[in-house]
Amino acid sequence: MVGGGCAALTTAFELTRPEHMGRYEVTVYQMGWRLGGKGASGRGVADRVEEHGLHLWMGFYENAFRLMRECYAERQEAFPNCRFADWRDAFKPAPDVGVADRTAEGWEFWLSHFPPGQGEPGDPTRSGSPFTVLGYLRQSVMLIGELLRSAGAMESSPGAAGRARTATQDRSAVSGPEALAAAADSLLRYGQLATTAAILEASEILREAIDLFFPQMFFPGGAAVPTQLIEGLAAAAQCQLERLVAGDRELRRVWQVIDLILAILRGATRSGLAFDPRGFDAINDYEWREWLRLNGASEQSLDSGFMRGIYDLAFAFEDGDVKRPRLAAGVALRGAMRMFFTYRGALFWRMSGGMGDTVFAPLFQVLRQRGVRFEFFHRLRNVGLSPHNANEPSCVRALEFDVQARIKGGGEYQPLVDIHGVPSWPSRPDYRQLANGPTLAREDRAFEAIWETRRAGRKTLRVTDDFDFVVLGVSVGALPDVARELIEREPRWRDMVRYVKTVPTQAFQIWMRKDVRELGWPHPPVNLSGFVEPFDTWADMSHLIPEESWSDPVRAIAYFCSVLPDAAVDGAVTERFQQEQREQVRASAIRFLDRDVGTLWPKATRGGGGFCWDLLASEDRGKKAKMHGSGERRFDTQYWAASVNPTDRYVLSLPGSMGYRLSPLEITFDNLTIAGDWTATGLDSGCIESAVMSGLLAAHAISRRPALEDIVGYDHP
Amino acid sequence: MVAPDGNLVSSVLREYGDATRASLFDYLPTTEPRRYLYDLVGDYPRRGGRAFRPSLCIATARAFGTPLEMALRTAVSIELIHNAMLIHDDIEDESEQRRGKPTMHVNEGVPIAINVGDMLSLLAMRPLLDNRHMLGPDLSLRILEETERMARESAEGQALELGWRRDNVIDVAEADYLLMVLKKTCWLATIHPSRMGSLIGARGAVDLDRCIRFGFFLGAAFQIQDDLLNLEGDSTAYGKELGGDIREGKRTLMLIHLLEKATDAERNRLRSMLSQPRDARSDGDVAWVIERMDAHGSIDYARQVAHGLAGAARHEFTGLYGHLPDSRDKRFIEALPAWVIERN
Amino acid sequence: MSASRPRIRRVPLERTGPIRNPVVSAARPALGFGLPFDPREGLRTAERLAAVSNAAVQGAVECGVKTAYTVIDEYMRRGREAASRHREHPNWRGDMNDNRYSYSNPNTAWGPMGPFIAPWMQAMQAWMCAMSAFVPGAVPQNPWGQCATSPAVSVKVFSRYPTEISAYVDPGADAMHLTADALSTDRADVRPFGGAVITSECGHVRVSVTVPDDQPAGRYRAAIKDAAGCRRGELTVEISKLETPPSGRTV
Repeated sequence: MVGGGCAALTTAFELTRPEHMGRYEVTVYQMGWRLGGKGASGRGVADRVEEHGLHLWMGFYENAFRLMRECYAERQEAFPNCRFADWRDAFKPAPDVGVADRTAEGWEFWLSHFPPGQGEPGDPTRSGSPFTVLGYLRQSVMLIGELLRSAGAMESSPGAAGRARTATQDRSAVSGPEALAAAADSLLRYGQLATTAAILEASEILREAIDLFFPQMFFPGGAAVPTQLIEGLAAAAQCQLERLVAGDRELRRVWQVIDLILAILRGATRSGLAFDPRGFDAINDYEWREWLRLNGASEQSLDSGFMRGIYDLAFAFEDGDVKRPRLAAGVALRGAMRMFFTYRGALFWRMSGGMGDTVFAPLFQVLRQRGVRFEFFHRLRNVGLSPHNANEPSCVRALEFDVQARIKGGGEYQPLVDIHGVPSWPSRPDYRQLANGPTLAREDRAFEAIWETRRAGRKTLRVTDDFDFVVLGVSVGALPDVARELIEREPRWRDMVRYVKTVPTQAFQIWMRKDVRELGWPHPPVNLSGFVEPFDTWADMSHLIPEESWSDPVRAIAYFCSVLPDAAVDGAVTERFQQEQREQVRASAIRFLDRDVGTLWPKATRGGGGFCWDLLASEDRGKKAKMHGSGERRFDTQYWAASVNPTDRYVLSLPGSMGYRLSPLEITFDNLTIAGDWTATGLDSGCIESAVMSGLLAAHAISRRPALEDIVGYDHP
Repeated sequence: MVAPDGNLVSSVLREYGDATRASLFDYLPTTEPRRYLYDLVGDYPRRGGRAFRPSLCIATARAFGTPLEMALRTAVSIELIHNAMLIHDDIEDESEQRRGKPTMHVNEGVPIAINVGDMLSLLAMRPLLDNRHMLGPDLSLRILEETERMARESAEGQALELGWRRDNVIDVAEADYLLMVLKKTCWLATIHPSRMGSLIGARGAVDLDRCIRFGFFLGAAFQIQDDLLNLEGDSTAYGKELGGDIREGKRTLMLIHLLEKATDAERNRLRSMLSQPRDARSDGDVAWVIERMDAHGSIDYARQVAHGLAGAARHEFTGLYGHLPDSRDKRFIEALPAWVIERN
Repeated sequence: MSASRPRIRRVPLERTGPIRNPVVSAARPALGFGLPFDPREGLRTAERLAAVSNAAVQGAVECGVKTAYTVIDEYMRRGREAASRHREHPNWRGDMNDNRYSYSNPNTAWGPMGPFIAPWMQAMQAWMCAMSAFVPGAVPQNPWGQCATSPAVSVKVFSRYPTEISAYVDPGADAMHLTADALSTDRADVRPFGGAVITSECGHVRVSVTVPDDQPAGRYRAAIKDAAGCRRGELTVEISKLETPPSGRTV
């Protein structure tokens, strides 16, 4: 395995299952001192968690949760003294989710509460794929009904809610296509859909109509009733929206969501998605907002916090330019359907520690227990191919590594440290274990940076002597550097690195002496998205306080992140460039805290503007404390990151680019499989679940296990 | 690869042939019009035949562990299509004998024979539609699509051969010939039955395109052996007139080899002979061609190529079905490459 | 540098992509072609086999068999290329055809192939007819599972004599308006009788059969059809005048 990120470690986990009876001998090559890739985290001063950015787990991450649950169960047996014994200690349902809406009066925050889903993610699933377009259509219409009911309850006229309820009960059982068509007809007559109650009734009829007319409605000239109902409902929704522009915001938001769902229904029908062999991929050339707009969504809905939140969470900005939001419509639709309709437990889940400690430490422990070897401080420099031969498929002949540091005594590097009973990854390597440790410490080599060329040596692995198969788990950003021969040999690789694009991201974390309630945030702790740029996303991480070791009482932890505009000239990332970007992030963060955070935390800013820098907690004592003093210099005690290194960049799902992704199942180079969320994973988006799925696919490519049918959500519209 | 496997192949062919025929006759209507149609549709099927094609389909499915019933209707359909094509082939080739009896168009006239052939191919539909009860709609639809593909490939291959004959194309290369055989013969005889057997048996878990290689090598060996028997076989057992292919001007591997190796004078004589209508070719012409083929080693060459292809088919078999558990059906398929070139 | 043993090769995979739509794509593998074939292996086997047979070997075998490999490789390569070109084509069905006919186009001229291909067109249309009735049930859609279940059928019969009835209706047909043809038998001298009435509701089809008192004994069949005339099921009525009911009571 080259690369120790989510995907490659998933493959390692699969190949070393007892069922394989030791058939696969796995070695993981990882640069630097810690596993995790984009999911790596460290521990800094006061044992504070220092992440790459924000990592959220969703309730539909079936494969990822399954992996974690198995991993934790196995770790529990081998290491019974870990504090996070059960996976539920490490993963907990996240608090509510919110989006920020821009209005004429300023920012408004819409916090939603999603009902708990049945069961828990990673629970066994029924055999066969439960995901069908029909199922999603049904759920969409039911959601409309729910929203309408809540809208009806919100309407100013007191009897409206009651009327809405009785309206549905009074309607005598309408069954059969003719009766349904008649009912639809009477509702669609002009003016009839003016009331919420009527619209609710229409949505109920639509639900039945979809069931009844399901296949035909996708054929040209097929059943008209559902299409007419969708049209009628969409028109009514737009009417409501216009009416409500100046009115109740809650109500307006509900109608915006209804409007978007109707656009989805209309688009699904028109594009014939239910019967297209490509499923939702059929619309991947469209941009998500563009597709919704084409299908009648109003501008108001398209600009809602709801929509912007999706783009923010997916960093879906080409070249990091927030003026260019771009997301492939099929990927977005698939993500939305899975996210909202197939979550189990909670919509979001959060980790009780840094991602490295919660995910990669247990994985490391379990894998090592199973006999996997880890070679840290090995950075891939080149993948060498066999000579070109018309009769034979090309294969990987050699792997060239920089050995960044050697282990003292030649033993295995022990990467974990114990922090409050949790095995964790430190933010810097343990120089005591390294040969020339003191020198390396002094030089402060950037083991994880692409521009660091100092090394302790080189190593070349050769096929058959040292390896039989390679899983390339480095992110796509690294490929132009390390996979030059592959790109030259194979046009599909050329296209892939050209069209599958990435963006750098920025993030900062602050620790504060007061909690957010004191600072003026009136709502419960939340993950909020859609806010101002940069740093459109805020996650309250105060639950990590007990995991850290602050002597000064810390009462709140806040993470902020967003995309970072891509400034790399000719693609080269030098030390200087990284410093500059870091400077820029620092400046942006300070500006944000001075100018914008007051919207969230009114009491965190002073009357005339400007952040109360004393709020920031630090462990500095004496001279250092004086140095940082008060004022914005105090920000330097906090943590921030510019993720500009090629393998740290977030992978995008741009319209028109999805066809260029390669699948781990494709055998272009006979003994090479790729793995990562940049590949064609079925989910095809930048997230943990996608990475785990690709790891499962890579394992299948090598060993035919797991069966593709057992990868939840792989066979999916 | 002699007696024991020879017996295995014969007994499997007999068993599956009987099962196919019994079911096949259920699909032949007995309503009017009988004299001009329905009494005739059963003629060719009744004449026997090896049932090679349906047997391959059934055996493949069973080798994957599926019961015979699941593949039977598809096998029946294949046999019906095969018989339909035989009737049309006989007309196109102007053949006079089929399986020891006069061909249908000789007995009934060309127009009625064409119509009987059409009806047989239409009747081949019903068993495929009936598949849906036992195999489900998805699989049945897939089989229908595959059948359409096979029919199209067969017709395209036949078009090539007929075209070469009509326009007296002399410079047919070996590669052209093999491509024609791939389309015209192999699809119906070996590729499609293997694919359908695999599809039904493995329910889509096998890459059907690998069956194309296996089917091609096996079917090509089969065809070349057929062409060899036409020149040298025992006429009573063979059932068609000997040397008939030469009389038809059929482009066989032997003929192509001969055209390549012949002297200029010989090639000219061949060209003029082939340009004449079939009746104008005398027995003497036919005998001369055979003698020339012998002299230039064309017949030996074709035999060696057939052996080579059989070997290639045997190799493909290992990659394709090697992992299946041992069974009589697996051994049957394994024995086929040797059988196709050793039969007479 | 010599390897200590031959390089281990990967096993070919059956599938290389997700099944996005089981109904339409029928679990078709997305361009999974497995390992490219090694032609030399086949030649070696061919030589072995030829050596066993009486014929002299080498040159001839290599030549002819090599051509065969070239032909099949080229054929499959062309198919792969055509398929990848057609990947975005709306009618793409994922196989290797390079000139896919579109059945929904009424203007396709079949030319001299017409009489041979026409029966297949009819079959496809009959199939589309059947497909349009297919309503996936509430059960998870397993592409390789059984058909969605047929609706429940209940039969009410008015008959003087013991009469056995069986009725079968295609899945999804319960959503349609169904009629039954006249019940007829093979014998030319027996008059068919009609009047079977069918009502359907979701998941349940009710058939009511009235047998005339003077209807001769025998086995009668009728097709059950939908409003478009597509066949959706079958009704079988067997009248017996010789049977006595169990326990000797008359019906």
